[in-house]
Amino acid sequence: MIEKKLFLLKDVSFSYNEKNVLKKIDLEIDECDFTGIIGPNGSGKSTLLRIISGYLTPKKGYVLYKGRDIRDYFIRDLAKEIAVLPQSIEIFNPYKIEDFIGIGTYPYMKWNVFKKGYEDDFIKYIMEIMEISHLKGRRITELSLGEKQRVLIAQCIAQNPKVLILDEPVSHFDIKYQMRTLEILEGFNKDGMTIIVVLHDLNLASEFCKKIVLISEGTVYKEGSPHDVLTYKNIEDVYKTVVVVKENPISKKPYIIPISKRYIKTT
Amino acid sequence: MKKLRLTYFVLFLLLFFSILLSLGYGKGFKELFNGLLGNDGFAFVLKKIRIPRTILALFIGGSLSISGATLQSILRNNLAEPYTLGISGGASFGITLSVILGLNNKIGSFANPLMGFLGAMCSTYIVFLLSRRRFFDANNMVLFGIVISLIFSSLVFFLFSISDPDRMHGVILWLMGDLSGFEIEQAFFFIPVFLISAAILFYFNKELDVLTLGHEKARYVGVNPDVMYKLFFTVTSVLTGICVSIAGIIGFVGLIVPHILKIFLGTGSKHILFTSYLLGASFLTLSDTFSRYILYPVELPVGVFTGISGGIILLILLLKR
Repeated sequence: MIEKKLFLLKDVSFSYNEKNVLKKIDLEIDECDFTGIIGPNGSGKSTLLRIISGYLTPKKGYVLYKGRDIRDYFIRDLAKEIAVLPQSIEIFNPYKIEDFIGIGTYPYMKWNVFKKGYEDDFIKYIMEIMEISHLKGRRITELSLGEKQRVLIAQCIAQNPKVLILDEPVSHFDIKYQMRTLEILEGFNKDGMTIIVVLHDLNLASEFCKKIVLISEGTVYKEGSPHDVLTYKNIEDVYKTVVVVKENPISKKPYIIPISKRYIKTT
Repeated sequence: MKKLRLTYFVLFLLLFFSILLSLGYGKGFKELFNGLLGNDGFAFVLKKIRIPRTILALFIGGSLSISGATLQSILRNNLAEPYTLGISGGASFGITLSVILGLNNKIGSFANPLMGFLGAMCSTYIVFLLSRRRFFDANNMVLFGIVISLIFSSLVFFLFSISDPDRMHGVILWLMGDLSGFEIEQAFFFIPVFLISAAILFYFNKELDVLTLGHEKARYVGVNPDVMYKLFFTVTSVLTGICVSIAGIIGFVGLIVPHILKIFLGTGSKHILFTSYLLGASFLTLSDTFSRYILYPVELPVGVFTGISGGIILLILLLKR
């Protein structure tokens, strides 16, 4: 039943300058999934996201979105379905943030030079959900990293997407921002949005993702629920680091504790 | 929104004032009014010199500014402007070559502008080809532009050194930016080009906003960046190519005008483009008026004036950051 699957990756390989980054990846993502992609640095996570979102074309294999090759969609139509937040976006023009979020409504804009193209109320609503209403009127270039990231996610939401793909959205933030941002994403997920996210923090991935894909050296090492994937054996194999996996006393999800080498010798 | 309306109001007022000043400098309102309607000596000056010159300053100022605004947005670099991307170098080379070969006498008076235009297109195309391999990385592109510009300027000096110095006087004046050599008859050819190119840039203002997010993100928001880059580069280089070929090198206008407006307004590209056009047109018209009369009867090339005043304004802006 191909139609049931939102994304279907079949035998996908990709290489940059003769160097294989992804090798024979088969992956399925269902509607309303909250999928976390984890793996060591340089294992090909970002490249995989770029392939899923249609920015890069696989050298071999194909990506189907709703049963149709993703490269066959018009770019503008795809933007109404899938919003992507790449790892780092350098913002250069000092936009007011309302205008900046408004750029995300581009796929719905009419060809009219004199019309603004988006409703002020809609932008206001998005800013409320993302909890950035207090930033109204400020310039995007003067915000802190955490605030800027929220604005960028708000811009993705302005695309009114069915799928939201994020590449390390919370890597540089303190735990308050990390938790709040992921909680907001979880809220979107409950409302029916499919979310695919690359996370570095295994505990955050364990806490929020329904399904986890562990990538190692360009292949899918293991996929499944947090309990299936985040075992000490899998993690030690892929990350080459000794860990202890406990259970989070509140959420009952796996909790990963890295162990420094100096303790390993004695035990 | 209030701020935006006020800005438009002030800019239109400024534009009106600068046109009036450019047309009627040293004369009263009455004389200007009579001259525009009548048939006396001043009417002749107006028709033959001041009106064409003012029109030209308005169009060139506006065009350079929107080209600058567009290039800064797609390259995501405040230093991007028509001239830092090597357009001026190519145009100088084209015109110098044309003068040395005496193409004016051989094929007609449009030879110099035409060669300048071809030179400009040629150098942008080289920069474009060089940058394409790296997803139009902004820093690379500005560097390529500067290098290409330097190579072409050296070629210009090479041509100077091997040719007759008397013939070069006109070229040197032109290189410094000069609005005086324009005839109203040429306007019928140039004005449509100015208008159509500007209309295309205004029409695609939303795509321009999306492209400020960079190549990858622009695609996710629904714009095909490769197609739009080509379009914007072609239009801006046609626009500046035309400007350079008629008026020479007028620096800094395309750099400071959008820069100031972006910091001040912070809106999307639509208003930045419109206000840039207005402010750029006023700025060049005023600069031209001042450079005509500041050392009267000696006339300064307007490029010298914009270069100095624009450079100082830019320095102040950079230091204030």
